[in-house]
Amino acid sequence: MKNNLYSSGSILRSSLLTLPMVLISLLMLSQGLTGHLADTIGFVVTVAFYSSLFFLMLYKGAIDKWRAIAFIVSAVLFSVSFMNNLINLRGSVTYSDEEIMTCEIPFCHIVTTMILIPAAIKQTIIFPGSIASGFASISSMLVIVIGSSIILGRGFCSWGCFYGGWDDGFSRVTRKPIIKRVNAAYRWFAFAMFIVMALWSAATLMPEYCSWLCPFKLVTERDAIVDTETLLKNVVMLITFGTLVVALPLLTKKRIQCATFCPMGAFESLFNKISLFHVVNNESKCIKCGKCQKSCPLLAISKDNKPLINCAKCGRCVDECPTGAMQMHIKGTPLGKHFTVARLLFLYPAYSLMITLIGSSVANAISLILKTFIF
Amino acid sequence: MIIDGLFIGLSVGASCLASCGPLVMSVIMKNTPTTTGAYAYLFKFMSGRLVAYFLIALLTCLLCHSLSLPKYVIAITTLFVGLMMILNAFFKMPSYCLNGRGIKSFVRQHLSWAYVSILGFISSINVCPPVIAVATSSATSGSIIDSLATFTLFFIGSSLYMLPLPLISLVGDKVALQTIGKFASIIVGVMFIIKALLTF
Repeated sequence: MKNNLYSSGSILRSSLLTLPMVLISLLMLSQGLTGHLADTIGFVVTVAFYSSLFFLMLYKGAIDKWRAIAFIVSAVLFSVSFMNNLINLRGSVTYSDEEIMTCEIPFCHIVTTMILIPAAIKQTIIFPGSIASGFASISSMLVIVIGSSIILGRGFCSWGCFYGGWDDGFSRVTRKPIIKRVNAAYRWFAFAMFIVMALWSAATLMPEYCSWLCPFKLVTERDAIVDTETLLKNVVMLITFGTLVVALPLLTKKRIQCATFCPMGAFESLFNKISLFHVVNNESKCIKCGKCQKSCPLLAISKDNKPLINCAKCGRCVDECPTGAMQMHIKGTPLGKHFTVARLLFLYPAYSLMITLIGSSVANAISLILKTFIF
Repeated sequence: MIIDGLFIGLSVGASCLASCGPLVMSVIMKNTPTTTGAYAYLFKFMSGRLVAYFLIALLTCLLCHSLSLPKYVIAITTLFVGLMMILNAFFKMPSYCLNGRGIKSFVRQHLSWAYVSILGFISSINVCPPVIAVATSSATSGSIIDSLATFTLFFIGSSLYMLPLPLISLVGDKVALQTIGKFASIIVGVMFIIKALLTF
């Protein structure tokens, strides 16, 4: 039996189950409406966009395809909205020493991995952002990221991350991978990166991954080039974005940046140990075809077809499995029973997270595009 | 005062953990599957660190002022640490062979001890701000014994923070742990080499 959801094929059931998500979208996205027609259209389009994709997930019984559309569009429009906000606030998408000194850098969830040790040992936040006020404050982001990780585990990386859509998108461009085999051991590189960056940042009291290696500065904000060091940082950023986010995902059809490089991904993986939801292989149904392992974009399935600690719960293996052996499971419940309900129960918090974290940026970007080209 | 060494060690131990942690963690994860073995590696590293501190203690006492190493010495030692970490990534440390005889067996038995101790020695001889603080205190102590005691207490104070590191070996998946250790060694090695090149 395939892993069809309880609602699959039924318009009525799917519509009823979509209703809570419509209400959540309305609640989350109606903040900040100004009455301008472009804002209202942006709001309506965004609610319709997220609600219709949620309906399609339920109606078709396949999650990853529709999740990916929401995830990729969200990532691209988040960048548009974010960069526009920065231009409005400071006139540029680059930051200089002045913004760093005045603690005006918006907090990004990836920095979480680097601030934890100094925060725990020295009671110091080593990020030049606002603790509690303003745009993307440190405390609000920490609460959202850690809270959602406790519930979803590494599900954050497939549902809540504002950058993940970039390499997810590039990994879906080609029909077949040009590089067919990726050494699965590279999945552990992200864990090494996490350990080294967490300790190195604690030693230098600077978020070193963000300073030197993060590719996503290209689609958010980056150092203003004022000397050799900042020039070098920009070159490294272009190289990491070009290779890890664009070229390698195109060639391998895997989310290489998320799977092998991002320290946040490794940190989130640790939450998979305590999260309620996890993907399991029901061995009584498994025919060892290996489709799950081949399709997993995060190299998170072992040779014997078992999901590993770095599973991001994107749902692709569950969709691809021809016998329904790959199942979403709630810890403490019997294996092989109620797995479609478990999947449905996972969908609500995961999709709500996406709407809460990125939805308003999507509405903002649509409004901005309308204001630029039509109104 | 001699006791200042302990207090400085306790207060800056977190910085020592952050600085030496990546080296120790990489070596432990790459080379040993057991907790006992992991503590053995930590103590090998610490023994090198202690020798380096004794050397600094002697020099500061004899020179009567705090040490400041020339730039090229710092660069060379940093480069050396970087290269040692890269070697650690690609070569397996020999395990003890208690029944062996001859030079080959002797080398095998002592290579890993020497290698990790040298790593601890070289990484600690790079005088960092906490060491300068102790060296300043020890330079004014007046006698070699006091200077050595100050550094010993600093070593004890700062080493306490390192003690939980080997517990990483309790992680169940040993193959994954070794692979992470290998990659961490490469990242740390490359970082130290870049740091050395920028120092030159």
